[in-house]
Amino acid sequence: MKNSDVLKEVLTAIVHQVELFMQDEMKIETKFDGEYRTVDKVELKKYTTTIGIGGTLNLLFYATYDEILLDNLTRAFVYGEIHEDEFTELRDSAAGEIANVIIGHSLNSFPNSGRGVTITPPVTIEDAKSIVKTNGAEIISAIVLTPYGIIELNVIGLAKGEWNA
Amino acid sequence: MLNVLVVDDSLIMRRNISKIIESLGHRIVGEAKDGLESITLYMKLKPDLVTMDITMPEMDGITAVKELKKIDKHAKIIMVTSHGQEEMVINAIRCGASGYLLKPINVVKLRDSIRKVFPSIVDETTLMHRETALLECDEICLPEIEDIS
Repeated sequence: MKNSDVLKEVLTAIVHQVELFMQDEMKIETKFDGEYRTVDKVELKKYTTTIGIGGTLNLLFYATYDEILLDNLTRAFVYGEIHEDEFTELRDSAAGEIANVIIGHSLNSFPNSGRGVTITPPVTIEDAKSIVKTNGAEIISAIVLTPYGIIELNVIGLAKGEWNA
Repeated sequence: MLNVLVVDDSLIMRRNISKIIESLGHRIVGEAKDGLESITLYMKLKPDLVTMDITMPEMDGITAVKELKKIDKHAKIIMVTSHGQEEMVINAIRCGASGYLLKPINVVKLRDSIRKVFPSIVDETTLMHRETALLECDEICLPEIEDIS
């Protein structure tokens, strides 16, 4: 299986889970234009979460959120009342946990049913500007729209060669 | 009422699990951010139940379950994780986990998982249902009081 096909299959599974999660769990409508874009540079929003996908695959996943969307997701994700003084900390944690849930649920739809695939704990970065492609890397990107803004999903991996997965 | 130790590297998950467990009438005796911390707290607090994430820094949840089972072979541990893969579920159960719960969690999912591990436990929602049933029964069974004036 070509690397570019693996990247697209992984991102397709992730987009599907994002839509399921947003609609079923968060009760937020989504719209995906169906396009998987190969890009050289990703402009990041205020909050970005990254997860390493390892084991039989070797990829990086980035989810970058519009701030208002992440605020709404945080309020929907938290059980019970939120005090304003704890909101910022909970939002940082929600960004990571939401990405973690989405990737965890996507694993079964990864190449080879995700067998042997491992994931790292999520890391959320704030105010990062962009990711630029370097030689040998490929970035594919998908955008999911919601009434509160967008979530952009990116998978980065090797551009050439074949995978054993 | 159960004494529960919550293990998850995510602040929002520790908070959600703790709030839900408390709403079911149980007590949170401790929270750990990784597998290593869970072992220290388990030995100190001796909880009735542990909820355990899988993907965590320092020590992952599967390794922590193995270690906890070495310390206490009767330890009751429910895995609470986003990993939906069958091999992961089987692996966790083989290592000694009593139950497996897929994130995102809610009251019903967590309550049902606890009931499977502790079938005789009575939680707040059970009590509420029993009270409601009794009230409904009273409405049906009690004879009307006759006017004796």
